[in-house]
Amino acid sequence: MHYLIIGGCAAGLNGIEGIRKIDKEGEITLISEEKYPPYARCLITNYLIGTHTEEDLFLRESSYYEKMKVNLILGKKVVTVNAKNKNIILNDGEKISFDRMLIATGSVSQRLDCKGEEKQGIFEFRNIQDVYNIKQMVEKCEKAFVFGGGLVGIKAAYGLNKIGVDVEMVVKSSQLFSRFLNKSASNIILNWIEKNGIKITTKIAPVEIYGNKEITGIRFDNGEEKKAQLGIIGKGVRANISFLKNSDLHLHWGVVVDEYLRTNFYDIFSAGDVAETEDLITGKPWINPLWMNAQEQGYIAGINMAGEMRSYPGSIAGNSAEFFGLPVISLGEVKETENVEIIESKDEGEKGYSYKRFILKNNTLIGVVLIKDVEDAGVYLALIRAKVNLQEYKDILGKPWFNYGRIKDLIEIENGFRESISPEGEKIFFK
Amino acid sequence: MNIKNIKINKLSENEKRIFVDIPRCMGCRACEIACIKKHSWKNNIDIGKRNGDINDINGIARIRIVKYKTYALPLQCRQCPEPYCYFACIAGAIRIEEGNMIFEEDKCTHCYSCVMSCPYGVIHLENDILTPAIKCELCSDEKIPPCVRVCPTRTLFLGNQQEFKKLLKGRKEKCIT
Repeated sequence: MHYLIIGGCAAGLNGIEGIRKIDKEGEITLISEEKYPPYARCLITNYLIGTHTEEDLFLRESSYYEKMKVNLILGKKVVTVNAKNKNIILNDGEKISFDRMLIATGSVSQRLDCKGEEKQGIFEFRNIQDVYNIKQMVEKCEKAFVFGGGLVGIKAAYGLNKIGVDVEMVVKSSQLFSRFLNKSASNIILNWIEKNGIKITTKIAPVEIYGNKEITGIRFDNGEEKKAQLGIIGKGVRANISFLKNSDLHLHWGVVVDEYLRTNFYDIFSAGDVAETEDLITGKPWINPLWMNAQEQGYIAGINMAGEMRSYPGSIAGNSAEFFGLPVISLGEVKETENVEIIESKDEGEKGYSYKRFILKNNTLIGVVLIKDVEDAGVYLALIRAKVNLQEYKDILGKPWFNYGRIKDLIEIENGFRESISPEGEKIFFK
Repeated sequence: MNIKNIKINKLSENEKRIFVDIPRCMGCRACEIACIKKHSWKNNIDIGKRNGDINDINGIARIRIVKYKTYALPLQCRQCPEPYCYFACIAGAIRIEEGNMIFEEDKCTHCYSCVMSCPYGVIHLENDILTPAIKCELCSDEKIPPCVRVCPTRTLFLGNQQEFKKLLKGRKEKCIT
């Protein structure tokens, strides 16, 4: 059996883990367009700041791939996928056939859509190469702009701020993290970040980037013109499916997969930011680009590729991050929609910035936002996953005494050894 | 009790972890103190906590007693074979090796992903100082973890599932975790 994995990041790496859990012998080939083995993309900020070297980012030691008997093909791109004939063609013309394939090519950055976008000094903030390029520019840079108020944008701004670059964020929408935070929570984050030295301007977008070869300035849609030597695009991501256009695979926003993460060809699987799976809360097809989802999907897809069928419960929206010492966790559906009940608490105490928000629909928890006091966030996630009725538990949500013990009965497995049903009011002693 | 589609992983039989026989626990918190002592600087509980060094993660218990109905419930890492925290870890700090959960503190970048994912809420991160995440690692350098050793009522049990089942043999009602 020859397993082929396209894409060397979270989902691809866990594809190896999943396959090797079941099949110890089959041949595995992993193709990555980058010249590095799988590494922690979320940590490139640390590489920019200098707390991590390239090697520190690698998710596994180099001996791991030997131990797992994985053939790594690095620095090559897949240009054509022949789903019917079960082969692929690389950019150097090499043809590789497979028995089962995992598409885990992740996502690509959204474009900026303004004039002069291709000028030197405008970068994405996606991989080691980008950071390397940015590092070359930083020394002669006086003013940097980050376009977009998502996590990538903030991380880029945070990194530049830490290495002493004067950086300003430009956000088109009226808030930060429009994808996974509600307005009041994002305002708390905005104030905190501004307090720590990064300027943020909302409701403004660049219309033209000028300069000869390298950028020298930016003109915004409110008519303002500002000098700049560096621009970073952090405007969110879309699935990397352009190379699959003529492949007969069923595509929508991403690669459409069923609950076993199979595409319309049953020998081809997909996982990670490129796969369009079911959303756990809405039940509708959706892409939730999150490291946790990608790793879990890759792992389950790997297990399924090796022959054991396990269904994937669905991906969850959200994220966790920490900026200047302030942790933020967002899970599920956090915006105000119809028929939802919101429990909100704000602590404007001495240290301030503490915020909790719970969104319930039909008495089940569908979303959580926690700022500062993020302890037990996973327990809330378990409640979201379990979709249990919380009518009698509403008053303990977000309280300091909330913990796993309080809701143990709600999420335990019936008759399972691990979490057995406890006898209510009965005395239990040894015989 | 209604059934939910949460994925809680079954343990394979040869993996050791700390089992809890809930009704036996009287909430004396000896396990917490033993844990703090074990993870304190120079194994001394008096000078363990903080010690003036902001990178000192000493003196924080990996086990804690919480309330569960009318019982006291010791809460610590369940060593899930396919743990959520492993899937969530963006830095490769949490890994599985030969059935053991490996947690490499140096790789931790305090991103709170593991805190976000653990359904038991047993991973801790201090948010005023930048320390690695704190979770129970079964004290692999000792034969029996201190919390198990000091438990006066034998609530905590180190072993695999079969051994624990044997211990509970003949008991009609079980309330364990």
